[in-house]
Amino acid sequence: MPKEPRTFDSLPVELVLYAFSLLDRATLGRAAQVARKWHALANDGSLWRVLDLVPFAARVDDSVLVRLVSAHPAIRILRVAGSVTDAGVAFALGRLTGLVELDMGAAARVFRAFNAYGPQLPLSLTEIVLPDVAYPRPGRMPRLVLADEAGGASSSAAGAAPSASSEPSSQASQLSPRPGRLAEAMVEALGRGAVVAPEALFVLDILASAPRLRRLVVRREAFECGDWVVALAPRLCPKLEVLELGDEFLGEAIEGLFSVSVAALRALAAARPPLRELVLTFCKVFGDSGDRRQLTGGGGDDDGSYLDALSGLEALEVLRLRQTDVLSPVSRQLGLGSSFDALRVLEVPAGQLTEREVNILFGAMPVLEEFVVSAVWFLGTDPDPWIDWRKVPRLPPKLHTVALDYSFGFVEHLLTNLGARHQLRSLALKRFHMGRHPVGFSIRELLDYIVRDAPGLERLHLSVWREPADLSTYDANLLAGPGVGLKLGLVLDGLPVLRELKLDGFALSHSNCAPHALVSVELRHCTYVQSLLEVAWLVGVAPQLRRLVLTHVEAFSELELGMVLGIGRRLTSLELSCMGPQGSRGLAAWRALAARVMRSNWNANWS
Amino acid sequence: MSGDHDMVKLISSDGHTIEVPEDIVRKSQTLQNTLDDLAKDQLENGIPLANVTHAILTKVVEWCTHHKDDPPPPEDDDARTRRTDDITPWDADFCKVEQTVLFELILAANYLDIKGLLDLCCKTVANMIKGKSPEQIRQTFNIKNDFTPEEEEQVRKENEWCEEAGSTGK
Repeated sequence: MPKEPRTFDSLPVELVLYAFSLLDRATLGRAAQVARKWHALANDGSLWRVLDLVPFAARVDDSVLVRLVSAHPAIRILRVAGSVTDAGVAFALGRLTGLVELDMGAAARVFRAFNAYGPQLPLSLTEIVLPDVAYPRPGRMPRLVLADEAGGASSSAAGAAPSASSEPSSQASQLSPRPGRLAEAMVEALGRGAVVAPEALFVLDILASAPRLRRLVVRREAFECGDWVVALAPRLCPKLEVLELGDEFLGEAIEGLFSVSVAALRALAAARPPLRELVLTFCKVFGDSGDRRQLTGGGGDDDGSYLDALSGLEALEVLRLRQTDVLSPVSRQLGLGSSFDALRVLEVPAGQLTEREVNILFGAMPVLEEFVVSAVWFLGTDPDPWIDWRKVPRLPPKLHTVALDYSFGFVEHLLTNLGARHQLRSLALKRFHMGRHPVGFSIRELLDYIVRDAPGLERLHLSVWREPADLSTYDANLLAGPGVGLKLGLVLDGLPVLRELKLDGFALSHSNCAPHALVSVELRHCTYVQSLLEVAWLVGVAPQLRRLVLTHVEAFSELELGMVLGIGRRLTSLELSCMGPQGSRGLAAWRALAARVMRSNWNANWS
Repeated sequence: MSGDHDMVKLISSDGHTIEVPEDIVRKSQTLQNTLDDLAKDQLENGIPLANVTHAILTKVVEWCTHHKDDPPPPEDDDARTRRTDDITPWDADFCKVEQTVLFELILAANYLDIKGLLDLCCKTVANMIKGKSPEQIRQTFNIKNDFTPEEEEQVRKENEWCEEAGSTGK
């Protein structure tokens, strides 16, 4: 046997590439500087299918992008960032013929690459995330008035839309010719003479040049264009499967709600796209009342039956209306016979949702698996009326995931009802408030129901109710315990397959059980009521536990924390956070402790 | 689970024979195929493994025995971010070996088609590269810098954009 010791360089190329595929971009950049062979390997096309520039935003500009794109024409997923501009993106689009996903969400300086270069989009593109803050402001771009009967871009189109443009009509004729498909689709969906806002054109141009698009995400500042995008996207992109509009951060500026009209939703369904997922976040759904600058062709009293409109989407599996305001109760929305035969996931706002509406929804959704009720916080904090679960006798047979925010009157009846088949796998009760339960209810009682009726629970999330006014003094309130039973512990007996536990404002107690399946535990806002001995107990007896999140650790002593960390050597992810300098100890002291006890495989996250 | 723990004879490239329970042997896709293809009596004399020495084979069997109850690893070829920080302490100890042994293990895991072991060893190698400067990487793997000074400067510039910022953070 010739016995020559193996060296790194003697490994077959494909195995080195496999190891390299596990490296992050920065490490790969250093590996490329080791030697000629390493340089060649680190630049292998197989390692450059995904180029994510977001972590390097500070150093990335057009010249970097152009160089990388030229060297790696096989990039399929590109996330641009930093000071990359339209020119850089346009160059990339011209080169990357196999691009399937383009994310400009972090590129603040990309303004209108697509308006100028839209037709150059690679035909392979199936996924686009549009820039956050880059939409042209109204006024920077001319409005488009659709051609009237006589053909040609008519300027003044008498009686066009209610929002007739006040801008000089000459601008309308200065527009570069739109791709034929866009014009056709617009006329088809909006009728002749309709007016389209310029900021919507920015998005629509993109859609018109990406006929294979399957996923479209429009995030911030999309509110001006929501309506047109909803109405036209399925016509321009007949393969569209996922449409997401808005994001959580829109709520920072309430003015920033984007709005979608029922007319647009109806147009969406009428185009019969194979849409599987529709997610609207911070959105206002409104009827055709006509005072909005939107695509309504004119009056008509619509009662806002958006659900009726959407029921035409036969493939729809996921419908999430997050932080979304709707016009009218569900009961006025869903006509007899409307159904969502494929819908698996439904998220609806709590406002106006009563047992009556829930019964209607459940009746129309035979295969529903996940039901989420989220409170719409910008509408106020008390989304009465709540759901009386005693009056919801028939649940979708496959329902296994329930998340309720605030509105859980008589929730024990829901548990009992689901419990008949022991099917509940995931339960979240946010802002649980025992005092608000119609007949009063303690966490201990609730847990008895859970253990009895949902022994197959894999995920449990409980958080305590709090007044918005208390947010700043939240922890002081926790200490004082404003009569909501915060000090009651949660015992894990009887949930043998629980994998994820998240407690916010509640404490955990030890017991004789061993939570064998527990993988992840989050304890938030609970450190004033939580004994770390109990946490140490949990870490010690849960053999599968890999992830632990603790907030407000400044309430603990170094000894206590060290004990938990010492026992928790199996953990692969650990997140600790302090309240910061105003906490009882400085952040620096905790960092110092962490530095001593942390292990390299811990993914610690101090904040 | 069944009572009969059939033993399979494996013959290493340096001529040693070891007997390994069949369910352990089946962690190797390559050997699984061999077992399924050959009749019982053809296995009597053992399966020769031309590319694996006795020392490495023993390590491989040790790993497979410890992981015999693991579920099969998922087929995630296009995973966008693959983690290397999820190595269990036992696996980490297992990989505390000479580099040459680690590379032999990679070759053996590849030859025997044991995805979990291949992943582990490659993650270990990846972790040896992470957080090091080019010069430290050269020292770690005993690699000669064959760039000319001009080339070296050019390659450094080429990769400037993805250098980590001053503080490596979390």
